[in-house]
Amino acid sequence: MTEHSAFDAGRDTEMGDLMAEVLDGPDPSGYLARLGSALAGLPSRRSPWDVLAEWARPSVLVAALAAGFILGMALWQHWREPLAPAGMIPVSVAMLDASRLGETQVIYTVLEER
Amino acid sequence: MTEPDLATAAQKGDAEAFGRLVMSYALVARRVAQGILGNWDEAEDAVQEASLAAWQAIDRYDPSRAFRPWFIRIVANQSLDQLRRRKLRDGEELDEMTPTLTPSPEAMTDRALLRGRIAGAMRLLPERQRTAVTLFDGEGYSHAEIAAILQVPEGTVRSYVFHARRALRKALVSLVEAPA
Repeated sequence: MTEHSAFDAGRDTEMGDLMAEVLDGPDPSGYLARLGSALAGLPSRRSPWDVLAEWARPSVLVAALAAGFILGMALWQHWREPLAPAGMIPVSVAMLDASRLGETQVIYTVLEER
Repeated sequence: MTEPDLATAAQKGDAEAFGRLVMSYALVARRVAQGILGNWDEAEDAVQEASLAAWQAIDRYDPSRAFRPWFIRIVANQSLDQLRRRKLRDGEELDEMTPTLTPSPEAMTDRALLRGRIAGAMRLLPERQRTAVTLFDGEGYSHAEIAAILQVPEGTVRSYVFHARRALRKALVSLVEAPA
């Protein structure tokens, strides 16, 4: 064998080849066949997006239902407000209305008691 | 199909392309696993497990770089993992493993005799030295790459390689000097 120092920084190819011969196991064709059949049965690999999409589907459905419910409630409230009794007069207006003196007195009484 | 094409196809879920990639390095992979584990059956298991791990992690592989170092690194890590598990399971002292591959002297040619000596000497090496010298001299990995696999400083890898080489050469020299 070629003289090499154990300190050599480079690869000792002669030693490497000898090691490769030692490490080349028995029955390489059998090994390759076994590995080939193991590789043929690899489980299907799902991407993180697939996993996320699977997880997201029910969540998206629930979120859409919740959003629909909230939107429906908001629209219903909005539609209901104009239907409030038209005859109701805000307190500020009632206080200014001289023709309703009785009401003003009642309001003042209430305010003084506070 | 070139290697980057196969890798890209594998990343898109093509198991056949992935299989072709792995099969191109299957023998190298078994050598590395055998260098670490010192047992053919376990080495084969380690390569199969590593292939599965590589398949699951193929998204993290950069197809612009060579597949071999990436895959062999997974094989080496898998083998080291398996070795640790075996140690825990058996309480086995691997550094004192005895050679099991010694053909009868009659059957040995000079080359076979050398191989027998190397095999015996390798089995007597401490696990990390054996791994380092297998990857360095056997497979051409750099000190830095081996340091990354073994998770030790580069200087430590140099020391492992040095001691392993010294032991292997001692085994060969004793063969040359032995009386006929």
